[in-house]
Amino acid sequence: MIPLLALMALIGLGAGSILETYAEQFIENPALIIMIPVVIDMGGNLGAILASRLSTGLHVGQMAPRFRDRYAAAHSIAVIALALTISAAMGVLAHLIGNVFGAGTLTLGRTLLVAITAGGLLSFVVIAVGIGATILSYRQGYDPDDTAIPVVTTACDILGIIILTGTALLLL
Amino acid sequence: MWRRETCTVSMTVPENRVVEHDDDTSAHISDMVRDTLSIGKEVYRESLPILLAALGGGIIAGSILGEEQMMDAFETIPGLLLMLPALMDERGNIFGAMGARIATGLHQGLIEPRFTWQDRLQTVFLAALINTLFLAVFVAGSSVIILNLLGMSAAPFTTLVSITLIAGLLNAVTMPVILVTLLFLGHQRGWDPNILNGPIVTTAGDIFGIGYLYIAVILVGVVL
Repeated sequence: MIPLLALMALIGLGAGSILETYAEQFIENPALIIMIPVVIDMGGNLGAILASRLSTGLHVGQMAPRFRDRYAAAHSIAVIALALTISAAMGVLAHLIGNVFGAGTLTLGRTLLVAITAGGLLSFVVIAVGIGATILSYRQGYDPDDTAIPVVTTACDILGIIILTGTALLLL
Repeated sequence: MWRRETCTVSMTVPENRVVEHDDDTSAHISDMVRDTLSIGKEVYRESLPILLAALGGGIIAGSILGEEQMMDAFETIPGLLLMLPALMDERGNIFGAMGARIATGLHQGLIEPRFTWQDRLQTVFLAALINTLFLAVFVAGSSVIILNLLGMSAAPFTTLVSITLIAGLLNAVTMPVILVTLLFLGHQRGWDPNILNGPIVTTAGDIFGIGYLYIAVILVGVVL
C-alpha cells in the first residue's frame, strides 16, 4: 500500500506544483480557490461513476468492448450533462461565497464562464480517460474494477486542476 | 436498476431485426436514439444526488480555503498550495481503502456491525494511522525538494511537516470514527456500505481534511 500511496502523492504534488506556480492568480481571486476542492471531487467522482458503470456493463454484457458503443455513448451524454449542472452550481456558489470574503474581483458572469468552461472541458477528458482505460484494460484481460477505477480517479483529479488553472489563465 | 435497463434495451431494439425498408431504418435509428437518451437520463438521475453531496462538501472545504487567514498562509507559506491536491487525494486513498475494507468485512461477516473494539477494526485503524504518518513526512519532504528543483522559494521543512502531521493526525483520529459509525448505521438499515463509502469519504474527508489543515496552519503560525 505504501509504494502506491507514495506514487499517488507524487502525482498530486505534480498538480500542486501547477497551483503553486500560478499562486498569484488564485490568491487574487478567492472564487477560484473555492473551486479547487470542487473540481478535484467532480473529476474524480465522474470518472469513478463512469468507469464503474462501464465496467459493470462490460461484465454483464450490456456493452461491447469497442469505442463506438451505444451504452458508452449514453454514459458520455450523462457525464457531460452532470458536469455542466455541477459546474454551473459551483460557479454561482463560488461567486456568492467569494463575495462574502470581500476581494471579489470577478463578476458572476466571469466566474460562471470559467466554471462552466472548466467543467465542460473536464467532462470530455473524463469521458476519454474513463472509456479508454475501461475498454483497454478489459481487452487486455484485466478486470476494469481493479485497474481502470484507480487510474481514472487519479488522472481526473490532476487533470481537473490543470484544466481549472488553464481556463482561468486563458479567460481572466 | 441493472435489470430495468437490460429490459428496456432488449425489448425496444431486438438485435436480430433485419432492416429492409427505409421506413424501418429510420424507425430503428430513432429507437436507438431514444434508448440511448433514456439510459443517459437514468444515469444522470441516479448520479446527481451523490455529486451534489460532493459539491456541498467541496464548497464548504473551498470556503475554508478562501478564508482570509488561509489565503494569507498561501502567500506566506510557499509549499502549502503545492501540498493541497496531494493532501486531498491522500485522505481519499487512505480512508477510501479503509471504508472498502470495512465494507468487505461487513459483507463477509468478519466485522460485526457493533461498536466494539474488534481485532479487524484495530488492524484497519492502525493501517490508516501508519499510512497517515508516512505520507505527512513524504509529502512535506517532497514539496521542499520540488520547490528547490523548480527554483521557487520554499517554506522550511519543519513548518510544512508540522502542518501535515497535525492535520494528518487529527484526520486519522476523526475519519475512522465517522466512517465506522456511518457504515455500521447504514448497514443496519440495509444500505450497501460499498455504495455509501464513496460519498462519505469525499464529503466528510473534504470538510474535515481542509478544516484540520486550517487548524494546523493557524497553530503552526502561532507557535513558529
